[in-house]
Amino acid sequence: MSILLNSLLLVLREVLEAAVLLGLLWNYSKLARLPTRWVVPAGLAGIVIAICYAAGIQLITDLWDGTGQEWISSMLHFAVYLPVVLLVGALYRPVNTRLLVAAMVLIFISASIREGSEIVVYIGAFMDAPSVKGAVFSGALIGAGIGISCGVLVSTFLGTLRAHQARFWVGLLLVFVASGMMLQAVALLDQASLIGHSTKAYDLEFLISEDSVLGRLLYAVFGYDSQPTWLQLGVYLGSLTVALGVVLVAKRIPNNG
Amino acid sequence: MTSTKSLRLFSLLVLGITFSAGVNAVPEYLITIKNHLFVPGVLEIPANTKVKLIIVNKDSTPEEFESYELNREKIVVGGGKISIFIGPLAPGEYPFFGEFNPRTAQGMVLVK
Repeated sequence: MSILLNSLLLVLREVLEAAVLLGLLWNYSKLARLPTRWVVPAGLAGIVIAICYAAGIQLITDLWDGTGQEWISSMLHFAVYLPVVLLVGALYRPVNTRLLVAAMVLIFISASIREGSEIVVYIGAFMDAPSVKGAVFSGALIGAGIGISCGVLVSTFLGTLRAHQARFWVGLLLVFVASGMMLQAVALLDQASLIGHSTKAYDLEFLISEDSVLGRLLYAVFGYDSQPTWLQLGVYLGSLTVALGVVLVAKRIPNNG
Repeated sequence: MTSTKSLRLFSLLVLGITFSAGVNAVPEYLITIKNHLFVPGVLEIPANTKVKLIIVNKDSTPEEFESYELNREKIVVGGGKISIFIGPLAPGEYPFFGEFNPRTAQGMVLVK
């Protein structure tokens, strides 16, 4: 694989998740009639923290007996899932506006830190390599452009739907994206031996390889794992059940307001 | 009272299961990154045994150790060191690569 293509795919994978999440949150704001002023400050904060995270990656790696990266990354995944549960429930129940905006800011910043920091570390690795720097930067720019375009497309498409349809799809996609992060969080904790061993549940490599472009994109957005362990699968299904259960309960309980 | 005791026992059991892997000593294997190559390129480990990979990056630039088959992904800075637990694994071949330099940084864990 050429350096340009590798750079493109790596950056696309990282940007895509944040862009799709932002597209979903943007539509959520519109559906819930919330302000969208949080987007620019949250985006800037995410970039600044991602740069700081990348700059301190060795320090972070050495934390907690060498498990710092896994701990912090998995916490960032939890920091996306929990606010998403609040948001999807609030699609059908009134919740304090400030709390919802704070939840969206937390989701976007958390998603930006991990993905953004990897891009910073990656591009930084080639800053002193004049022979390949151009290809790396070009690939990164194209990848970022495609990722952002995908986010805009998702957002625009959802914007064309009727309110009840948009509410359904925004809620469902948020739940699947966030549950995918929980699946990834389990893999990180397993990598650091912070949880017990679990055997492989199934193998879908023959169907969609994680090494394929589709596999990489599905991994980026929905946390696709072709060979999850039983523990990952259990946590994933549990996360889906809890989030969808919250939506069902929120829909069924009569609104006193 | 009984329910409190049961709850404590259950908590201890859960904690025991959760952290038992971290308490037990596991065999360690060293992989070095030099000139964007993994050394050794093929690492042989025993089947059905949890092991700790220690990856030392002797290059000045960072690398990301990644493996779809092992379900692992971790950044190692230039001149830095990381550790990753894998297994217990069934016998077979488990490729890994450096995501920042995938053309050269290729390797495999051979489980026997």
